[in-house]
Amino acid sequence: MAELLLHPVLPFLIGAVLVRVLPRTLGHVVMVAAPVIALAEVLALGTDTSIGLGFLEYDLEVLRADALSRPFGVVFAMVALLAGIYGIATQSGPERSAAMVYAGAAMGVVFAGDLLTFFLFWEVKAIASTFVILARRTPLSGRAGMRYLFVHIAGGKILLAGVLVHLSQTGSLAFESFEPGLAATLILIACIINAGVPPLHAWLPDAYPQASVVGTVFLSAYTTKAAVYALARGFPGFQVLIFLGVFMALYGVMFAVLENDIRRLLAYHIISQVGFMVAAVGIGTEVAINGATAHAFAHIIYKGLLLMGVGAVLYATGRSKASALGGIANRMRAALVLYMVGAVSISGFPLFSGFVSKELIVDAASAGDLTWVVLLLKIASVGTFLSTGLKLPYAAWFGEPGIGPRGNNGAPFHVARVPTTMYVAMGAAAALNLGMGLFPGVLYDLMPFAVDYVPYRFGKVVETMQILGFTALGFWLLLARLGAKDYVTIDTDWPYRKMPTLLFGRLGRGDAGTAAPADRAPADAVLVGSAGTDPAPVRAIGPWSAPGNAVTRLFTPRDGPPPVPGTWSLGVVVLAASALLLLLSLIP
Amino acid sequence: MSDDRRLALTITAIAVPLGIGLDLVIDYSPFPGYGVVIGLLGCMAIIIGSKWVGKLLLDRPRDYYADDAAPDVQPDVLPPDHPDAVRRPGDAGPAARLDPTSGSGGVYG
Repeated sequence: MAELLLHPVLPFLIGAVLVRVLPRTLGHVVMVAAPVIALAEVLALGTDTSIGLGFLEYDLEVLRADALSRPFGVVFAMVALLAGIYGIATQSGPERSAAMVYAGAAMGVVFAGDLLTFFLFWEVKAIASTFVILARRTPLSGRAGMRYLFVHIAGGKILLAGVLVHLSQTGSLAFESFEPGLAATLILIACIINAGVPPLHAWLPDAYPQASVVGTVFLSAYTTKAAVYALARGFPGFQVLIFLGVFMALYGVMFAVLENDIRRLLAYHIISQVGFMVAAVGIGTEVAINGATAHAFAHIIYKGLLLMGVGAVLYATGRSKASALGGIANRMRAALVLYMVGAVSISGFPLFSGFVSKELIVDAASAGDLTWVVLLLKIASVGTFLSTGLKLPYAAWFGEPGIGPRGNNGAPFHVARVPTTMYVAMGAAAALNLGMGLFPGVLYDLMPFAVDYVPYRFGKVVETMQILGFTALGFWLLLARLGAKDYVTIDTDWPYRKMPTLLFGRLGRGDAGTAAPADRAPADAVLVGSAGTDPAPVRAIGPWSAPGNAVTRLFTPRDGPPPVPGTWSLGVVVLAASALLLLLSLIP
Repeated sequence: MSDDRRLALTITAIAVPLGIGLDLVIDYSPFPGYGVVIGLLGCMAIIIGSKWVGKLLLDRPRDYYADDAAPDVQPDVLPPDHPDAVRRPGDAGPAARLDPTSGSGGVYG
């Protein structure tokens, strides 16, 4: 039982409290120390630890460290450290607290040995990640966060339904691989919602880019990869996952080509890359599970680096639309170089992390005679290099030579200095990507099964370089078609984002404003650094700024949006959860 | 045709037979020209296919979701020394110059 004190969740939960109560400077130390302690604990637990606990009449296994949970635990701690360092300059106490709980809950998910503990951490993770999104404190993040919560509450209830059906059928709460049936189907649906499998993926590109610069880095690491872990644990060899995985790998690529917002573009590539892992779990062999785990490991590090790179651009320029960026290469050279390390890693260039992990999955598909899977995953890799390695850096960093930072409209913009701590985190992530590529044995040693794969074979390296080289040529030939346009693309979130407005108009929104809310300045925001000495107070909008108590405010006529952004979404969340619980109670 | 495009076409015309030749010599890929098919044709298919689907089904004007129309500049993330920066109560980082007349509520507007 004393080993329970070694549970890797604890440093994060204690850290979450400390960053709220301690001064900000000491909070920096906590953000670094908590992941380091958690990492040490994961390594100390080894691959054969199990701690049981009785709860009511159930036997719970609150801590299970084995060969599958260990690599996820290691990388979860590592990315928390990287993101914590990256956020030193910008993260507020509440945001840090939410991020710590989120990281800790994800840790709890992968170290849960029974379905009840798993479900509890799964829900805490959903709620904490919502707070990570809300911590940006803008109207857009508020609404996106509530939509995110809506999807994850629904997913959580489906998981609970699956767990309860499983318990009633088998009498066991143990989290092992499932037999096909109703319980497995419900749990599988909950997992594929969190893994971002289309058409249940729209929460991801909707919410992740709305979080703060560092919030997105945290978000990119945990939710989808914890779901990959759950799939690898519970559903190896479920063939439907091969089809879903390949589909999502290509789906993400297609939307990324169309995307104008560079952070949303990278969010679509999370979907695409998780597709590789889902397909590998569907193949289900030892090599494939190694591939899924290795790719999840590498993906967390290189995706973190990519989002840190574009996050640095957003921090320095305030812009994340490709159409509003351009010509910053001379001002942000280090960020470009570090971003490109992430880009070549995700694209699977030899010597970088993506190559040694992705090829394991492709090898598993080849060994299973799944030629179509190999072919389509290779095409998805081409699309990955196209969007993240060519289109994004070209649109964001480059532009007409010699005129400096300019958006599509030709107006110049200022590029601020990026804090050293951000570069430190990006440099460390880049070094890890290079390290994994140069010494794949270190990564392979962490995998759940023994790996005897040799990634660096002459023919394989030449083939990969040829594919990537010809991709660059294809990009060059069709460059004119890839110009950044200020469009948005609709996705499967359309039914809950647009359809209600089409059906009911703006009923109940009480918004008499003529301009879109996003164009208004925040109610208590102040322009800093403007030419004037005293910035003019911005018009106060909505009940937040109305005087009086809550009751008075309730009856005060409004000319702005409702006090809680997305009241409508909140109502839908409550309604949907109630409906699901009702359905659940009807299951015999 | 622009010089740039002519150069791209010339390089492609040289690279394609070179790639096929290399495959014949190394004899690793499933068929000669594997890299050309997956890399070049795959890349062009993704660009043309995606843009076609986008035009047909998915592209919408930037203010399609009226409440969520993202502005070009997101001032809340900028450092205080940036001319477009907006600081709010509770923001981390160097102390911000705040307007004492502003309210203390959130920033949802």
